[in-house]
Amino acid sequence: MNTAPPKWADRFLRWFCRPEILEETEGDIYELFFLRMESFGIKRARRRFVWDVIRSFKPSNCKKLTPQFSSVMLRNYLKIGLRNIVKFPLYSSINIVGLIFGITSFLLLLFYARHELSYDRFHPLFPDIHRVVLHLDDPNEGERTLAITPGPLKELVNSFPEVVSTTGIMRMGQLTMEIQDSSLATPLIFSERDYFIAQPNFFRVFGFELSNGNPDDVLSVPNSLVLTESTAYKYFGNQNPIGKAVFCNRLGPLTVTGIVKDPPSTSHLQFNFLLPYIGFQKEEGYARFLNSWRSLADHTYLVLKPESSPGKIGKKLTNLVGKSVPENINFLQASLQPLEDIHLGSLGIENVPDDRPGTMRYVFIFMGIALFVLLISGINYTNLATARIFRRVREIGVRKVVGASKTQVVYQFLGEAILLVGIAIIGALIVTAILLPFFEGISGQDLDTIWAEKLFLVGTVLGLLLVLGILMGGLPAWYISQVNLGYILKGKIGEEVRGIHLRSGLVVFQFVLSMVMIILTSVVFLQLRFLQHKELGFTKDQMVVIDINSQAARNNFQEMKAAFASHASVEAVSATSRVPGEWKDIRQVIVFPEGERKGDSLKTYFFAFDEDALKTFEIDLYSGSNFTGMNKKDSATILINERLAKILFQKESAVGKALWIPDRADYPFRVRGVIRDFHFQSLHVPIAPMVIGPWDNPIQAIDYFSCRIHPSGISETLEHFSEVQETFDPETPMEFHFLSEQIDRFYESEKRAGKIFAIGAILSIFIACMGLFGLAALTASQKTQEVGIRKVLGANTFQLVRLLSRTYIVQLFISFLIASPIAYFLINRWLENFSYRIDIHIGIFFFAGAISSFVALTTVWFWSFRAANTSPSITLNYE
Amino acid sequence: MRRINLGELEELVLLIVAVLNNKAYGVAVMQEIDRQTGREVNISAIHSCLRRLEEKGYLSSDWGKSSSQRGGRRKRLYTVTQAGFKALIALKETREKLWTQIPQISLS
Repeated sequence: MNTAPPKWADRFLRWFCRPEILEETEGDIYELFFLRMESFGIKRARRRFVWDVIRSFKPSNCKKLTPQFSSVMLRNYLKIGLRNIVKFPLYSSINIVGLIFGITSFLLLLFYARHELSYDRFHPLFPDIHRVVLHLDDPNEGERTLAITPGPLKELVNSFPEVVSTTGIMRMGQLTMEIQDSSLATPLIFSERDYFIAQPNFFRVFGFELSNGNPDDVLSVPNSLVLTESTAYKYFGNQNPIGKAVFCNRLGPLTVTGIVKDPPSTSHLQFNFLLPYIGFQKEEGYARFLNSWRSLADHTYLVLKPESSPGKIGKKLTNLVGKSVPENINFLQASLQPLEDIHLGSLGIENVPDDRPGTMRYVFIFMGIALFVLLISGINYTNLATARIFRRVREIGVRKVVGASKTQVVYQFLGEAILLVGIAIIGALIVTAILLPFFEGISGQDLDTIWAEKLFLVGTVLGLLLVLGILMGGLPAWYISQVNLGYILKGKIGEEVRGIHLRSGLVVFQFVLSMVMIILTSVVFLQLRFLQHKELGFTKDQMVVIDINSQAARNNFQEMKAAFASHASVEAVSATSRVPGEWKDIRQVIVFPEGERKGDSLKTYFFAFDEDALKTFEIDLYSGSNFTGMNKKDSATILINERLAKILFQKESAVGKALWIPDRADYPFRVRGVIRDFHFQSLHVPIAPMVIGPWDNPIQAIDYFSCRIHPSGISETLEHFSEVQETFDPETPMEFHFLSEQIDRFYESEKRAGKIFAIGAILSIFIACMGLFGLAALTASQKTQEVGIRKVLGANTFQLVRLLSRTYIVQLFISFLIASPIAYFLINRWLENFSYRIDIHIGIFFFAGAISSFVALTTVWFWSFRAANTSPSITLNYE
Repeated sequence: MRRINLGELEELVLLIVAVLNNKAYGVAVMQEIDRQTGREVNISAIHSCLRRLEEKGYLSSDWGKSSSQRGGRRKRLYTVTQAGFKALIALKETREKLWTQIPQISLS
């Protein structure tokens, strides 16, 4: 084991510390280190050593700044730097504006990434909190990963020595909350889904802050609830909500006992209120459910002792759960998911209470775009500064003659780059503050809390200043330090052009990045358009889906259908268990064809349809017949889709065949018809085999009404619907949505990415062209005399323009050649997420190439034409 | 009399150096302050204080012995100078004079 203090810290101390006091300081810090090692251990001693060194790093202890940087000199550098900015407004504004764009987009995307990465860190116990995840091999639904556990698990886990405490939250369907207000004639009614049923220790495990109420017992009173601040405002306005009554349709009267601050936007748990577990444990029906190993009841979170291994506890849990679950559940294993991984690491986990889980992938992609744009704007500076270096040669020559060293010159140039970055950062921070609300709209995240994180902001700004400043200024600084004093003194300080190849390389690099982004953006948009216009096999437009939230509605569904349909602009109504384009879990069942009960089992999706569903959704019947609506004739019959028919019966006709769904019924189902395949899931996945049962089936009850309506007078039609709902089910307010909007949500993250791509692409081509504009201006001005002479000798404008823009055309062409394969690789990767995707058309590449070349060449030609059209009498006049 | 200009920590350090009597160096002063007053001061603050006091002429210093516990570096031992003692006494007297002028107060 290393028992020495950290070497680097010691070295740092020796570097900065004045020699007169070094021995004393070092000796004392060493002595303290050894003392601390004995009493606190090596780790802490090393930490404190570093701290002592840092604390000693103050001006009075530092070596005197070497005389090469006297303050007069630094002031002179600053003055020259500022003068150079003011004297060449074109170049300075290209640099500063480009950098402002680059830094702004970098900051915005950095804030976004930081937000994504900081989920659930506000809980004081976050490093120790883990969620229990179960892996099952479900006989009906195949292999699954669930973030939900049987009720008794909590108690057992609590006995593990490594576990400090456990807490569970439960979700239940929709609730209707009624608030009586004496000042209003009718009670306020709210339909709520976002709430949790929480155990008494909820507030001890999680860091949600109560603004009113005692965290230790606020959830231990039956028939109470804890509202968030905004829900309290929604229910009671500005009145004091504590002690107020809320009437709940399923739970009866409840009293508000506490107010919790709204969950931060970086919480994976988002809720409007919390209900205490207690009431449910006391009720017999719920108690049976909660105490059974069969039922998946709640989401379990553990607080582990620090330094205990989650892997080992997962194994212990696996053993324990394996012994307890009933045999027919094929439990595979249990594992623990750290709280901090939940937001970005829950892809593929079912039954999560999470609010909008994210993926690491988009965080990376967005950070990539941010760095690209920043890089492109930084390259502008490097290119322009190196190309214009001859303007500084005289100044540097004089400095050198007077005695400046190479290092001084390098520092001067780095300093100038840093100065420029500093100016741009100030501008970028202002622009960022203005744009943040718009960006929040695009990214769908609440980001303005970032301003409170002072340390992070200061770190980012300093980091940008140094890293960007040194990267940008490094090259020109190095070039200028290489200038040969002899040449300068001899007067050979003409337009010595340096680093032309490197500069072309950087321009090519900029355009490769821009073109890749343009190609990616076009592909994302084409794919999104394709998704929106793809024929899905059913009608999604003008379709209103109404939730069936109560037994009252379910029992009278036929009457309700008739009532819905009675309005003139309602074209068709049906009742189904799930709707096509469903975004929630779709029930899955295992089916066997007749005679093969043990043979090929097949996982299929299950829907329940009434007789009007095919007509309402305009799904085609391929063969056989639809449901009749008469129970006797429909029971024990099913419809299947073409995909399933092809898998089970190949080319034979499926109609009349029998299928077993063993877990659900001990009798076979007769296939009465085959329907054409339709995309009942998102286009990310291929069409899966599906079985459709009649509305009265042993597998799943109906849950939705779907009404196809006429596009005119939608608000009146909706009015009619809610009247019908009121008549049949006065307890529950109507919940509805438009199917097309719901289906669009499948592609929300892609749409968001598309927008960010587009902005990135536009910015990068714009900034790259600004740089090109500067370079072209420079070339044109350097070649004024050459152009003048050629003109005198008879060259025409076209020839001159070609001469001046030839290098740029070559650069753009090379960029295109490099960008195309890179973009091809990337878009292929992205499109792999979709089962239904556009073909990559070669035209996209040419389109992107043409667009960027056109924009780039327009900026170049501006200067070329100007130079070519200037009269030689001006350019060649030397007097 | 010349005005005596001593900061609060400076006065404390000066007193502690006097208390330690010839054994005062950075770490010792730091530990003694902690022991006597319960105040944890970073070593760099002690160093600054000692140097300031030396500049003001209240302390003088000399090299002490080196030890392996210090990575082979010598200690810098501080002693209070005449001026230092005078300053301490002057401060004490000023205080006492002020205390006698406070009208009867009850601290209970």
